[in-house]
Amino acid sequence: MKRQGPGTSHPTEHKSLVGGPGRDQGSDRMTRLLREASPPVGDNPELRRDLWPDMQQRLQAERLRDSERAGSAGTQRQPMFAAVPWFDWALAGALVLFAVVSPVSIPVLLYYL
Amino acid sequence: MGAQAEIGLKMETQADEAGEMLAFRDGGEEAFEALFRRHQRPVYGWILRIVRDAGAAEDLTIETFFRIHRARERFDPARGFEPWARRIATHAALDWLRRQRPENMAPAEWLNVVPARNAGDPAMSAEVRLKVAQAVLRLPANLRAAALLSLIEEQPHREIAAALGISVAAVKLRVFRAMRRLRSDLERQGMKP
Repeated sequence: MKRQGPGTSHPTEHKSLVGGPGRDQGSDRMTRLLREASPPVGDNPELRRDLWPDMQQRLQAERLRDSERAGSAGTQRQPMFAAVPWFDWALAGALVLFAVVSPVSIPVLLYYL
Repeated sequence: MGAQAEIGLKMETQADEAGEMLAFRDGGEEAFEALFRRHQRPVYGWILRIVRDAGAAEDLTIETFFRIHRARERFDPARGFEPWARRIATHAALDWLRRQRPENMAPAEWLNVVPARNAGDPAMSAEVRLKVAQAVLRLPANLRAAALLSLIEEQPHREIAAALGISVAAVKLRVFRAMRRLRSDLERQGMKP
């Protein structure tokens, strides 16, 4: 997290953006106002505590949720016949009926399968 | 000899980091812990600059590393860990800013994010500071992030652009628009910025 050093492009870029001498002064005033109201956080602010234990907890909670999700997906798995659309069942029924009514068509149906 | 030893140490550290990054991408939990411990502070600092709330910055640091952990297969070690982490951190911070309702924001807390030793100019009245804070908190998240990083934190436009995933020209435009909104907001509050 590098800070802007003196002589780098940022101030120039900033001036070229706002353009014109009047605008530059206004922008500088606004920047000063902002910085005086709320100073910069700084280069490398101190952390109040080590965050690794919280990170571990978060990862463990997520793993638990994942395994629960996988477990519930396994127990609530639908029976195979429920996964087949009704239209396929209707088609299969019609074919069986057709074969019963007209047994001579069975070799033709088998040929086209 | 001292300089040579320093260069050797630096190269060794870089090699260690490269190895860690590869191990992390392949799912190594120890490598992830090493990266977390090395980068938690800079990531926290970057987020704090945007959200200016220490508690939220801690939570968002964990959220950032959680997103990093989930997206590790997409990580490209050639591009480096820090820019990638910073980009994810910026998105997490922007998501947080967008979730904040203006009525729940406390300008006084926003002003006191910096320790007392660095607190703002004592010559500036509390009322003026509060008005400035209120104007900043009313900015949309994307303009606020660009303005804070550029105007208060003085981060280079190039780095802000990389973190936000936009061009340098777009950063300049956002800063310009933020300034214009701040100025008109302060004028509405009876100030002459």
